[in-house]
Amino acid sequence: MPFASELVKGSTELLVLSLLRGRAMHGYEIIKEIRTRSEGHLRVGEGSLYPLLHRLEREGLVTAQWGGLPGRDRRYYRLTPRGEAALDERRQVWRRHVRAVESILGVTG
Amino acid sequence: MRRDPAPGPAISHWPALAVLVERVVAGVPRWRRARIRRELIGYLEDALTDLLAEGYSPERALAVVRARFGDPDLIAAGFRNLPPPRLAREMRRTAPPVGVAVLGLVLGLALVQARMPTPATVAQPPARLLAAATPDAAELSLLHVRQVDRLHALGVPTTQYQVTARLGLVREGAAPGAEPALPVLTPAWLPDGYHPARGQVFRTASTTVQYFPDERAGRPGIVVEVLRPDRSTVFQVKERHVFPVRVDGQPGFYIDGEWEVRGPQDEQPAPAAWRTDRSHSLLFSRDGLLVLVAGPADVLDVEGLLRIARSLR
Repeated sequence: MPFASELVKGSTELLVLSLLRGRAMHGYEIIKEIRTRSEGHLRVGEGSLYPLLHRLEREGLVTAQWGGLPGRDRRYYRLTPRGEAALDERRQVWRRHVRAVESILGVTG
Repeated sequence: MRRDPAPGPAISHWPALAVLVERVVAGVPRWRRARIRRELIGYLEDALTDLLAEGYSPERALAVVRARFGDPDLIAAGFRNLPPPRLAREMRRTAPPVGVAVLGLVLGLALVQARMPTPATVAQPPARLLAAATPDAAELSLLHVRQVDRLHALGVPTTQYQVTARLGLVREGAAPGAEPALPVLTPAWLPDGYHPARGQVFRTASTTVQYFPDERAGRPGIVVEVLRPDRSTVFQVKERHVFPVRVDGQPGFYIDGEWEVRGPQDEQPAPAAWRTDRSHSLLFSRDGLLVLVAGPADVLDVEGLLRIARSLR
């Protein structure tokens, strides 16, 4: 059962930054990776991923360049050092948020 | 995870997907459309190809791709609402303090320059003067030009087009009461409205001939003045440009702005002191003397000054 769309929307940026740590990916790769790793539970709005990627690029969190095969070139995104720092910070925030929610739900770690 | 190209299956369905892309790019600024179109086309190609490879029928694959893609208008809004590029934001954020810093720097430089004994600015001389050979430093020194000495002291090569705020000729070995007769130099050429035979001569420590125009009395005249460098000083009052030039083979300066000539200390001030506004002039050496040719800039251009100077007999 897919998660509520609002929850996914709020975490998409964190997911994208996490996936780009370590290697460059193009938009469709990111979409497939999220779908595969979450075993289909997480599905981002595929068209709206691209404005998000452009925003991250403008904020200096990722860089982008064209690559791939001739006639099938794709725009590859890569995390910047600034993006690495932002990712670390947002992961901490996410973890605090999850712990807080779990404490209310009575879930023990 | 890069896949091998798989051309073919998606192509026949492309027109239906192209509509989606065009609806998105229609809502974003024109200059950003090419990149967005190219990127979204790549995404749709990949998505459709994957579904067809998974066994979806073309019609079903197309419907799934359209559904996953989302509302084109919302996507376009996402592109439209992007924040400005980071650099632009940084510039906007730092503009006020940077502006203040630059203003402070400019004011500081102006203050330092104002305190210098020979405030200097650099500008390009008129192109016609550049065509003339620039005299070397040794020749300029022969003119006893104080500014050159100062520039030397500052280590500034005089072959550069340095403009100084003061042009003073050093008086050396003045001999009061022993004024030699200075020649009157007459131009063979003057611009229309001026005649070489209608000059008024003033003899003091220098010999000055002023040529007034036929009409419009009161209009500034054209001046040809012969000076002894050890007795008179050409003093720059409100200069705009001073450039070293060669006049008729002799080293000299082109002066653009206000200037005046001051005679010896024991000389009566008028009429030896000339002051001409809105004029430019050439100051050059000739037979051990200094020659000043000056005139109103709206009557004489630089070429006219040079022509008069070359025609002096």
